[in-house]
Amino acid sequence: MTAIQTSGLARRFGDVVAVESLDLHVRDGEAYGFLGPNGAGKSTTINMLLGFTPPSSGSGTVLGYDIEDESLAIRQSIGVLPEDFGMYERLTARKHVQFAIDTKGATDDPDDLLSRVGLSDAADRKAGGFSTGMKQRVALAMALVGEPELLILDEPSSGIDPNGAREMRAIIQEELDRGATVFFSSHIMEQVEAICDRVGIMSGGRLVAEDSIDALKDQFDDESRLILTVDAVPDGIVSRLEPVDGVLDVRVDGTDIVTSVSNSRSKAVVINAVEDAGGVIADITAEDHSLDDLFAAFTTGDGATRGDARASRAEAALEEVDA
Amino acid sequence: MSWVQIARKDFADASRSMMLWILSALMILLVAGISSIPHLLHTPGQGPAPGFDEALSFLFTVVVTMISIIGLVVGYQAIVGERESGSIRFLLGLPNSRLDVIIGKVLGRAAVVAVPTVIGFVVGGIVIAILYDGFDVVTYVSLLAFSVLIGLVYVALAVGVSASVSTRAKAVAGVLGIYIVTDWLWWAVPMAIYWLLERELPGTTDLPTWYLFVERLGIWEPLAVISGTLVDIAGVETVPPADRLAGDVPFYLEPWFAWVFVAAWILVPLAIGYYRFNRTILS
Repeated sequence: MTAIQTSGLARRFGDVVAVESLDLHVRDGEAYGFLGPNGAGKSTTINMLLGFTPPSSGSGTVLGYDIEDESLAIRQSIGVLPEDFGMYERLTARKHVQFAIDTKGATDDPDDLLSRVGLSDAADRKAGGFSTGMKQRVALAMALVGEPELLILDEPSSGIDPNGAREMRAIIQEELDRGATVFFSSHIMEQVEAICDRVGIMSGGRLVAEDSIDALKDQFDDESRLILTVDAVPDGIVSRLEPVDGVLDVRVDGTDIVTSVSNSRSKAVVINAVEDAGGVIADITAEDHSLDDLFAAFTTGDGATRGDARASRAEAALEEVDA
Repeated sequence: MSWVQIARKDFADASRSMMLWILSALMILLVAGISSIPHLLHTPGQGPAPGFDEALSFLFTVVVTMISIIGLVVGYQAIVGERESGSIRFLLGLPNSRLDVIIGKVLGRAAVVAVPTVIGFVVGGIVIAILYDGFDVVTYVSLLAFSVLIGLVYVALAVGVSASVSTRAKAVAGVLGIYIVTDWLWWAVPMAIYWLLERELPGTTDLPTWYLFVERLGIWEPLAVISGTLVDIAGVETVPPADRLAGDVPFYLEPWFAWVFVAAWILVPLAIGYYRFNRTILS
């Protein structure tokens, strides 16, 4: 069975296209990372899945239920950790979880759930005084009510410290082991790498990639980045390096010459070319592309072509060098 | 059926916020305090001592006005407040329909008004029974029931507005505007129409039927008619239409039909609120 399926799902707000013809496919029992920078259309998509926002066109199902006509059945069967939620400030953590239990007609013990998310000590405290991380834990406990078949977690680790993020990953893993499907969105690639079987990457309202992380990485495996720090950047170096076989991109940043190369052999050619041009190399840094580069490659620019993506990736690399 | 949970949560929220207890204290003060004024003003030996009826007619206007305002204040944030705080994402992420939300909110908030009203009347009743002769339980309980009805009507109006708008400020403006026009100033509406048609101000008798009909469309007028049938005390009864009309009294101006107007004042704002809330995009 398919946990989430959309076809041609789209949402426009006036002239702005928030989500454009989305075909999403989340398999039963998998951990699916829904990635993309802020404003890529992730939240609008989730809002459509939850019935918060009706689609402008297209259709979708969650656990086989139609997102427009059977929204109640969907929300009965899933657990939701919404984004930008607010607490009932005067109700305690336990009352929040109890409310979810009562609404779903579930039989969970609120204290068990609060202990799972590490909030046993705060069960009787009013949520008004909670930190962002604590609020996030309450919301997660509410999402876990009723052993849902599918968990939709919208930016679950926002506002959570690294320790909390680790605990959250452990809980997600427990849910996966139980057989649940987990669909979670994030704008940070690293968070999904440890858990997700597959990822979908949104950019500019479109799904620009949907595959396993390994498969996505393979596309970039041969490429790496070479940064040459020189005393003085030779004139016209960019136009000299660009025609070199295997060089995908060249940028100059201060005294750094940053190149993306498609294979290791090209590195030596680049170094020689720089020296030939009169550049005195003070330092050489070579590195494989990180997951962040991969993410940036798909999501910057309009994400449509890899050529565009490369330029942006180099830009991202420059920022790292600066830092 | 999840509106039961929403109503319960809302009521629990209000009791946690002290609102329930502040309102209860206010209602006790109001019922006991206002109704004891005739007793305090009376100088022994000068004229007959005021009785239960005087106390209640003194209490009536103040208490119903207060409860209507309390109803609006308790209700206006019901839904838009959750939209602004973001807690609506919990509410609608759980298996609650938007109709569940509106019904649950109306009932929860109506209870937030009703419970302090009952407490105020019980405690105030003791004071009234001590101060005045001739305590009539039926009349007193009728006034209480009428007060609870007022609470429901004004809460429903406020929740309807709350469901219709996107910000608290708009809810305040909407509730206040509707209240002032349809409650305080409504008497002027049939009068203004009359003046436009006849170029003179209406008298108190020989009025056309439509005049009384328009009058009854206001939120308070049908409630006043109902109060006249429910509560048997001086100062509460309204002038019967037969004395004001030029012709026969149509069925829709008979006292029983006032219930239809009141039911419409509960249902129409909620229906409009539901219509708009159901089309609201939460993004």
